[in-house]
Amino acid sequence: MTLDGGDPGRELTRCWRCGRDVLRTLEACPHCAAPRRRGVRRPSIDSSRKDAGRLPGVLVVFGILLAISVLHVILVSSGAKPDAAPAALVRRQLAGLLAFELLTTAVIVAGIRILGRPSRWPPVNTGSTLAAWGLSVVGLLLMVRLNTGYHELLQQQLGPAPIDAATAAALRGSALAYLVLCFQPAVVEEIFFRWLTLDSLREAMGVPAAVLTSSLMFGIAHIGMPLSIPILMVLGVLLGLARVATGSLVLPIALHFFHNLVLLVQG
Amino acid sequence: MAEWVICSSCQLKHSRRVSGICPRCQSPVDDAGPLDTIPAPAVPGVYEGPQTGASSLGSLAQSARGSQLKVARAILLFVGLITFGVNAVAFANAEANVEAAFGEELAKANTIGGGPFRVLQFRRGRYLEQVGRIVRSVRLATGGGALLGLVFIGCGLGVRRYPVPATVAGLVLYIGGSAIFLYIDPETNLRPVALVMKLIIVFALFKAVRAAVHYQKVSLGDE
Repeated sequence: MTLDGGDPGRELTRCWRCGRDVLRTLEACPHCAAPRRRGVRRPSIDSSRKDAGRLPGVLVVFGILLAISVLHVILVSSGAKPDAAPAALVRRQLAGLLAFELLTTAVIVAGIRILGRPSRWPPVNTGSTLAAWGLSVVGLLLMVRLNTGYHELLQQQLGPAPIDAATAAALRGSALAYLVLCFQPAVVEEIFFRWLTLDSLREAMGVPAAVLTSSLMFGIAHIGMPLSIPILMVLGVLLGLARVATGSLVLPIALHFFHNLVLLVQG
Repeated sequence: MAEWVICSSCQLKHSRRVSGICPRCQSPVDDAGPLDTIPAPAVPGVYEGPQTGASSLGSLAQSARGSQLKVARAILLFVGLITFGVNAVAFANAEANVEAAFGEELAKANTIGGGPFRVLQFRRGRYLEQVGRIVRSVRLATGGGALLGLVFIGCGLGVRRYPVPATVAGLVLYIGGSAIFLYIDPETNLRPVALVMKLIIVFALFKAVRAAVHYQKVSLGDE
């Protein structure tokens, strides 16, 4: 029996001497002054395990996703056949990517089932939502330009791009590429990073820090493209702001989808 | 000198008891006088009594969480300093290291692949271009590593002021950094000693995140 909706600090017990209800945390019965008997539960130092909320669970899911990504990268780099035809190479890589994405989707769905849905986002006014949708077009264009500029700079400094023109053309011609490079990341990553993670972080640290931390996690999750992590963090901030401004996932999913689509079409 | 209080139930004038209970009728003394340690009953008929035991346990738990945060701070500062130091040295010596590695490769090729003709066949311009590109790559990686070290130090310094963001960012960056270094250099990072150390650090930081969340909740509740 508790007084305060399950708070262990306010649980009642029966005094062994006078039989009246006493809070468990008291050292002596307030009615008969009988000292508390041994073996009564005290508040634990590690009671944070339950009270820390969803955040530790989210970090565990993130760690699992990262481990799967590392495994995927290792498998891809060990099984690469550079002398294969671009179309065959693309088909093979996309099939591997599809398997990897199915696995990550399963992990995220399992994570949501285990951890539960985050608390409801506070209502956002219509003006803010409309402004966010309007500004998002400009934000998307800027982001695409920034991304291509950043990669051009890297290319100048470090040499030719890892994807040649033939491979890029083969990618553009494959319907599977649009599924695994545009649709799946836009939906599943946004559900994990902008819904489960951002909301869990928001409960623990406030909105600005939550947006920054979730975008950090979003960038690091793309471990297969380590040089792109900084620019993906910037993209993560944009998507996080879109989520905060609209209070819904529709705009971040749309922005993420079109961002990836433009980059895929551009090659 | 004893402090006198009057019981509101039986009107007994008595010296103030530590338990805050009237010695005759056993009911709580509402007129607590100058000491305000006796809280109001939360539920009618159930007296909570003086909270000294519970609050001292609460503060004990809070100080234990504080010490977990101190451990996290020490770990983040240590990892940050090491990461920054190693990468800064590697950044400064990038050119010399790459040229030494190239020299070794050339010497190996010279002995294995048919004497001095191979070296002569190696074009000077192409050699310099290759070395320059690799030096830039190494500088990018080590510069990024040094920056990561600085961020770890920043997180370590910020643990006390922003416990949750600093510990979460530290943990995420540590896991991410380890994964990236594993990707770049699997041989060094997959050694059992390195793996065990990383696991210990991740576990400690994970515990620190949990402690930080609770620490912050309790701290905010106190304000």
